[in-house]
Amino acid sequence: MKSAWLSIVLVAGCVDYMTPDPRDTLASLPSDVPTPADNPTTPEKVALGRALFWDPILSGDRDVACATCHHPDFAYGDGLAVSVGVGGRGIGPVRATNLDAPRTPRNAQTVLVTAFNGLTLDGAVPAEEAPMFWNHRVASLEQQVFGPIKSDAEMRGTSIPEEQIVDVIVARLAGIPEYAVLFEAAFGAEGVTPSTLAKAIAAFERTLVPTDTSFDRYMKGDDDAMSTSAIRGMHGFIFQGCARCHNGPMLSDFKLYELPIPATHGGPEVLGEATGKFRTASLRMISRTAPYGHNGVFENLSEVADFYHNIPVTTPLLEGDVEPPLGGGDDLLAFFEALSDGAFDRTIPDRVPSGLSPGGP
Amino acid sequence: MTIFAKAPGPGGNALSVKSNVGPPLLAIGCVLVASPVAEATPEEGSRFTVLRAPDTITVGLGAALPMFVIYEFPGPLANVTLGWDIHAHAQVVASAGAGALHLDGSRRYHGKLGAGVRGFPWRRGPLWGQLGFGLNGYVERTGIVLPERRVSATDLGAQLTADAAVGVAVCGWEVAVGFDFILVPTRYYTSYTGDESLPNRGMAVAWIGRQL
Repeated sequence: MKSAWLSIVLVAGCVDYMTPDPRDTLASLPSDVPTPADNPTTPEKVALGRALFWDPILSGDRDVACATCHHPDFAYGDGLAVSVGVGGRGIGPVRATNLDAPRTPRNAQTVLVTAFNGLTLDGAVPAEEAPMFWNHRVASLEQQVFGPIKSDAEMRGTSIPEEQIVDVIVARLAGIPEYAVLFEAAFGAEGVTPSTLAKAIAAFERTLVPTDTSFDRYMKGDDDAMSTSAIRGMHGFIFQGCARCHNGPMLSDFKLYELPIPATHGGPEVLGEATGKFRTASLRMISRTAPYGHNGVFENLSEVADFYHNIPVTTPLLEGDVEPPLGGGDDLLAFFEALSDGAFDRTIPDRVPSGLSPGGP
Repeated sequence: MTIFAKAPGPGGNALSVKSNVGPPLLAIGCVLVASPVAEATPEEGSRFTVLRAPDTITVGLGAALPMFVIYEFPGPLANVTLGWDIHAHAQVVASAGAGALHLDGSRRYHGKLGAGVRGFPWRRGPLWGQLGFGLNGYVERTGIVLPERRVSATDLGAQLTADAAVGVAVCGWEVAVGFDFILVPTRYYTSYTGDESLPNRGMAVAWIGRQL
């Protein structure tokens, strides 16, 4: 048996190594989470931010929390193609059963690892400039907070005008003694303001970074961390051109592209806009965050792989060999799993200071 | 011609690393042993001797066109096929082959043992068709140089194939094409549900042979 293995090693030793183009390489995540100079992370801010993240009091009708569509049971997404904010009940796919509830125009991206948004092969961007949302319409986690709160379909509803909703929420929070204590502990005399509200939630979101994945551990030197299949998948991923856009530590170049993503899925219902430019999605935690695409049109990763395999070559971006290896889809899935197996905070609080149901009804 | 059929030791069969290939291997062995012209006599417990020499021996060189291994790049293939006449229009054949597939950063060496029946529409005529089974084992090495580290992996695997081939033999030369359809894939090819799912794939082969 020993000689058999020796023969195999000798034969297998005759191999050259692929050296990808420098812009097509991958890397592990750094250990330090970038934070803005005016909002260093503290335990008090994180505790407050966690409470706010789970509290439906941030919505116009007190029925939707951040956690409603960014729930740990769905890797801080919601498992829906496009989200159901106001008018929905429960979490996850069950929210889609209320056909009268408005749909948001986009798939809810996971909050996990968003602390590193903007980190590319060129390095990290300042936390104040980290791109947010599918179309990068705001910068920084702090500014991102106000997007869903002001959106009528996501959290605001129709009972309170957009220009008033933040002030209404701040007033609500200031009127709850427990929140007054938490804000004072986190921000001192600054108290409850739109700015401290946003800073607290952002500080909590910066803690939602999974532990090292198999990919990260392998890249940092643990030879046993990734399976052979996953390594073959990584090779295919780079060789076939996926890493032209999905590169760097986040497996995203954080650039905006227009791709012919299908607009509908299995019926006449339109699931979000199919045109326009959207950012290269990070593939961090990708195996846990189905469905996929800015409109959630792809139910699983096999469908995504098929999309790229069959996509018409119509743009310079896709010229060449951007397609999964034939039959190598399983290796790709193994590689994606190696990007997704980090442990993350799954804590669901028993209560929130408003007394409402954590995460919404 | 002697065929060795050693009993597996305590460590088991090396080919069982990735797939449960023991039964298929046994089946291929049974085809040979049960052949009416391959009279086998037990000898020293687990060794068998085929008494009759093959009627034809053909060596071939060609190409393997993988349709599931590494990205459809063809690679060289060499094989040898032994044939025992069992009828004016049929032979039992056993074959062995080896090849290599290569692309930037990945190289696969594969070896195959096969057995089957070759039929001739005309008595020893130039055309033939063949059906059989094959056991394909491989070793593959993958390597990537990334700024953070050098990535490498060695993979062993095996699959059982159903093989079909047709050929023309003239003046001691033969030209043949075939397809090895994967019946039992390497074990981890099970979760992808997309267009390229196995086991609807296999390997196309083509070769030019010379009868010795």
